[in-house]
Amino acid sequence: MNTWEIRFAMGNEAIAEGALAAGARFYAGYPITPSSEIAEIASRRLPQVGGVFIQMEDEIASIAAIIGASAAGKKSFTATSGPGVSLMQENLGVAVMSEIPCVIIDVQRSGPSTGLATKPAQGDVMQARWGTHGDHGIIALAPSSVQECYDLTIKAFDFSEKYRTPVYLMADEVIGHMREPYVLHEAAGLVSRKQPDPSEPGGDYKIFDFERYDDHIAPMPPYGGKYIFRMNGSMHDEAGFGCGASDNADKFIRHYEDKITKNRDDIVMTESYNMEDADYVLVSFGCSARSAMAAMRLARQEGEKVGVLKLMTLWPFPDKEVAAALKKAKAAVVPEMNLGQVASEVSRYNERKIPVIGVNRVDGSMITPYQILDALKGLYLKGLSLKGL
Amino acid sequence: MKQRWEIIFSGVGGQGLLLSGNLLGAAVSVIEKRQAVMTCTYGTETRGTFTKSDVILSDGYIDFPEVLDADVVVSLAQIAYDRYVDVLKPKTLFLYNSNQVKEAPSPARQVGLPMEEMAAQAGAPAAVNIVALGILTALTKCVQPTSIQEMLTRHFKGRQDVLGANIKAFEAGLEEAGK
Repeated sequence: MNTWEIRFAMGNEAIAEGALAAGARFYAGYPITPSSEIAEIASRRLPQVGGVFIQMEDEIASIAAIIGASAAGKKSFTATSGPGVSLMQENLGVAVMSEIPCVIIDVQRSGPSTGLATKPAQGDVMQARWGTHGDHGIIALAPSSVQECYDLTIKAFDFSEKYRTPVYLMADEVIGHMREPYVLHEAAGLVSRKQPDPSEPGGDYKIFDFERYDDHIAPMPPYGGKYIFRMNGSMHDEAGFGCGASDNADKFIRHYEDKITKNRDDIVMTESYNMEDADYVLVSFGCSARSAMAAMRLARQEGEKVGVLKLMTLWPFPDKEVAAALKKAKAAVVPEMNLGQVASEVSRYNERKIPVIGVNRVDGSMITPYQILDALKGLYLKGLSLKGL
Repeated sequence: MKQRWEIIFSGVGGQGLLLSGNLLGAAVSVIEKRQAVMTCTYGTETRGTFTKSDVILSDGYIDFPEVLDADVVVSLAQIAYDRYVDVLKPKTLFLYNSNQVKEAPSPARQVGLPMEEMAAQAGAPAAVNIVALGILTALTKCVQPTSIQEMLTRHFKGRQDVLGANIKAFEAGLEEAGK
């Protein structure tokens, strides 16, 4: 690879190339629209760099395979859409419980079930957070451009390795299939998985003994090496032996949540546009953030002080950033291609109880900038000053 | 020169509408270092239903990636033509394939050319999409012809006969529209 190269390509290609740049060398998946190009490109590109591609019999096996490959020391990923993510939830819990780094690409399409196979949606936000049972933290990133597909995929692998956790990259059909120029650059400063100190003797090893380390992340030597590595989806102790003691369960379940939430300042990524003087804040993500940016441009042309807070991290939720954005605003509008999954979170951090209005669309078409402008006009009709529109 | 273009390539699946959009977007962004975004719409079927690609070209950042105010609509098939014929604005250039489309009244500026015949004469009967791209390039000047030729060369790398036929199809479109 050159040090950098401009390509005009779809988001799905940038995701596959981002995974390779991040050092991913194992893919297992079952193709599904609108994510299939990721599998196609991974099948061609991984063997070129000494990696492995396997087409599995279904999504349950796909995530099982990437968990296994990751345990054996390879950065691993799979790509799917909502129906596949639904099937993956059980083993996602295994990855959470066993603290296995892996990346799950969800190119969202309209649901529930097989839904509208070729149409976009952003309806998997809450599934990513709570789809697998039991308390746990999770990381989910949402790109809104082809460049972000590349860059955030690299970030997803870094977070996954750093915090020993599965990470979602939540694209959507628009972003996955949209073509734009992007810069394919070498990934600098990649996170390497923490390994035991070389002085530690082989044999029995406490692979879950996070309390020994200041950052509360235990080293993870590869399965099959000199350290004995026990994976267990049932509650286990530091060495991976089944353990039903209540204090042990309490410690580990809180750890799964805390290792994400306590590092939220490192994980949360947002971008602000024209927020300095914004009376009206558009909070959005993924493809709908593009609609919000266009609405902001049109509203500013009319002299209205509209700003955009774009969420690139969905989980852990950007609570501080949203609270700060709403602090001086008269109202917030949340455009999203679902029926209010992010708007409900935004409302939780709305300390002054300003109006929070959803602009929602679930018909498989993008939210247009005009629909967002209509929502702003609706606020005007409710007595909030909004002169120009 | 006009800075921003909103262009729709429409027809049925299998006509190469995504390739036309892709070549145009790549020519503008990779070769000419301007901005381009392309999105597409198609059904679950592989062939034969309504398909389109939206291409936006600009010197600056492109926010919303779908066409809202078309400068040009290209229709290669009747079902696509019928969708647009009475909803376009007078400023829109409505370019259609007269071998497939029966013209109807439209507020848009209509230009119908026998693109299938032109492709066949160029020795590339499947390259109706590339003929259309040539016509579009000549009529709008939204991209340099050499940039499209460069992208064709990259796209058909290693397939010299197919490349030659597509270059001819592109030139046929350029020349006919230049008349």
